[in-house]
Amino acid sequence: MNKIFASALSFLIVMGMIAVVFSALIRLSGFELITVYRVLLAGSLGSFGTIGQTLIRMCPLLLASLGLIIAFRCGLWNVGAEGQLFLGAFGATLVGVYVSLPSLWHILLAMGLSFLFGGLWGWAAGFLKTRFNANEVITTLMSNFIAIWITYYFLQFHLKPVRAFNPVSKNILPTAELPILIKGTLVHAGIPIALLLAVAVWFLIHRTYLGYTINAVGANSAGAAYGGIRVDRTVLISMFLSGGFAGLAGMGEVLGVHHLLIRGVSPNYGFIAIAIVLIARVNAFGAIIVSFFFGAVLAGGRHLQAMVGVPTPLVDVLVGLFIISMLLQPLLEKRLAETSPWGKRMEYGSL
Amino acid sequence: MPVILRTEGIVKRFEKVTANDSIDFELKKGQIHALLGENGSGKSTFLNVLYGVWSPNEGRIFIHDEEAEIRSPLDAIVRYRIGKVSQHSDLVPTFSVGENITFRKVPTWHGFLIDRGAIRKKVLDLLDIVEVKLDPDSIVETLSTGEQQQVELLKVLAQDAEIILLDETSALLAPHEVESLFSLLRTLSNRGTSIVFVTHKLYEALRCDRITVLREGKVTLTADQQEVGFEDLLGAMFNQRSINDRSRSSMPTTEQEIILEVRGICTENQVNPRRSDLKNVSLSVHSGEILGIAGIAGNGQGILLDVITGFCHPREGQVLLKSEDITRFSSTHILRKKNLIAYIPEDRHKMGSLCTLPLTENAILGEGRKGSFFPRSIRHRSKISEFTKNLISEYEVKTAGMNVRADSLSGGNLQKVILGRELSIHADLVIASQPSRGLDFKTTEFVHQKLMEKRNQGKAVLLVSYDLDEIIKLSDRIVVMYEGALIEVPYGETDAKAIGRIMVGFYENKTEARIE
Repeated sequence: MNKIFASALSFLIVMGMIAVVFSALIRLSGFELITVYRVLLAGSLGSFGTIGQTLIRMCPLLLASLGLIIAFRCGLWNVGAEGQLFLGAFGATLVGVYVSLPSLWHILLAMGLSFLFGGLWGWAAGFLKTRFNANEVITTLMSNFIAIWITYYFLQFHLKPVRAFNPVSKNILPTAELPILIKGTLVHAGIPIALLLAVAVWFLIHRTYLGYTINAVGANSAGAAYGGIRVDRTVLISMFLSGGFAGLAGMGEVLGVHHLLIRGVSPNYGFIAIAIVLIARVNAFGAIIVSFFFGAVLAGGRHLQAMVGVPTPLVDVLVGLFIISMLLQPLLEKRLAETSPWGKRMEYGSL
Repeated sequence: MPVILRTEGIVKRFEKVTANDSIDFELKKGQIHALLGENGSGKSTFLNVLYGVWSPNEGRIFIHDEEAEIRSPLDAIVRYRIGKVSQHSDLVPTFSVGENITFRKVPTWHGFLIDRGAIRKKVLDLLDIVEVKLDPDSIVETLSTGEQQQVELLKVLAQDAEIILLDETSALLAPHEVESLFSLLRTLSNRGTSIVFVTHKLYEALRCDRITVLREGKVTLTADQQEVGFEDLLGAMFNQRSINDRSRSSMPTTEQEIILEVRGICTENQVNPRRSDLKNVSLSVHSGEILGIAGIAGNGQGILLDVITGFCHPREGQVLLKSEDITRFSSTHILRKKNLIAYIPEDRHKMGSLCTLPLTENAILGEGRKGSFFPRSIRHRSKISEFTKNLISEYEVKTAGMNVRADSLSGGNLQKVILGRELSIHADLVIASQPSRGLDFKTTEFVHQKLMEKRNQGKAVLLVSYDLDEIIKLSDRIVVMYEGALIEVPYGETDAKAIGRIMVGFYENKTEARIE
């Protein structure tokens, strides 16, 4: 079967499957299908304002995904983007609240510190791997909790104004705020920055020597070592960059959206990013499209609760459905491509 | 004695390589039958055909005079009662001896709870029968290699195997462990179990009841142990053959420069100190010559190459490259930074290439090329594609394009890519380990021709191969590696049988040989 056709058909089938399952769930919960879908669409892409809602969710998803692309390319299963994101948000808050600088420098310093915080957190997992051969899946997963609760600790006991009731930090200084680009929406300067960085990450992976070594180590670390590439160094650099980009995602939330640090700074952006990267086949340009899509689902889902009363867990179910189905899609595509229209599978090799 | 297993004209081909060429084989009940041959003679393939791992391209297998179609290892054990013990353990290391032995048929209480008492009883009965002393409750990973192999044998027995296949199981054992393995095998055969014992060691074969020798996938000799002697087996294994090679243009002279010198290398094996390691290994390779290291696999060739290329560092001794001491240099430094050595590794998939990446990325592998392919660290795309294109045409690589994944290439074509990449470094020393393993005749010729070209250009070539013909054909000088030591082959000796004698451990002067 034609490759493009197989790809398109598999996408349609997968989408159809999601629609059927989600529709069934909505009907079972007693909501009108048409209303739900209309609100979902209107809440994510219906107007300037709602597109803005989609874009500000796309921003952290994309930034975290870019970091994960670097790690995954290097064969490192960094599942710690969430924790790295929190530390990045923490770093950005520190600079935003306590440092006084002219606007551009203020933002740059906040970006730098959030990158450094997230990056060092990722680097630490890389260090444990290279030095003690600790599995990075375990270390990054566990370090999520450490990072998140470190952030909460500082938020509760140091960043929170003494008399405040809620665990939120003081507002960041206006000079540190990422400027709003379109009046009347929430679209902040972090979004074009994320897009630019996506191009930069693509360039890094596909056009530079560092990217070559990252790919080589990810493909075959023994082969890379034989090729004279310093594997440990490449692992450490990849983990640092990976954590750094997740840190930037946290920075964008603090400087661009909330203008202060709150506990719910990330509704699992760091975990959804893992799925985004896998669906985007570990490609930075693909990640732009997929993170926009997930941004839309999240934005639409928020409206769903506000306007129709569909509970948020059902939206989480939708996100989960997308993740599972999108991961199935390549398998389906492969299966379809190997099948002739008459249903007989073609022979591939002798095995 | 009745024949329990018989094969007729078994042929097994892998692409263009014929691993088994019309093998007729008979196994009698209660006999230990040795299957003897060099590396690559087709022993393991034949065993895998009997065990249902491969299905033969031609030929038939009879068990108890009935034609058998062995589709899978499960089929082999369940339907035909054929069990196999391989060199590497298939046991669950954290389970006890008893649990491992009864693995496939664990005694349970109503199919629900594991009946430890029954396991213990069953295993103790079995141990009693075969006269082996083992504690059924000890954990397998705490046992020695030899004991683990006994457990594997018992596990196969507990599955009611009538025929047991042993694939070079003695290779990893210390001498006294080999003794107890043989006494166990003898007990089993006396009880009526038939055993196929694959080995490349002559003296082990001579302890079996019947011996079949394979060479290049063909049976060259089958006889009872009493009928044959040492010389017959040697002749059948290696054949009386001398190879004169026309491509050799000159003989080495003493004025040539010494490129690589290895002095008194000793290494220690942390894992199993009893196993052989490098014992005072010295050699030198001159410009314009090919030094061939012959030997059966696993006699220390891999460690020697690791020491030379800097992947591991020796306890004692020195490696000199053009009089510079590189013993303590890292592999990165040696292989790439200074472009000192072109290295064609033994394993072209696990080490020699980046399988999942495109061909281009494989063609430019090597830190030393950073400058030309990544000026200022940015990819020079046209240069890279031009280089790859040249490599493809110059080395006649058959590929759908240069952006296909490296693992889509056949073994031979991948080897050509690796060869082309390494030889384009223009290093003074070329190390080739098993450069033609698994390749068809034409590609092998091509690889040989390229190595010979390098030699004729005045480069030093160090060739490691388990294929004796390849060594004899290409080498100006030959040394044999046996149990971690190098033994020099007298200059001008090109008789395979004479070299084979050293390879299997029989040579006149059993002192540590030095090659000067």
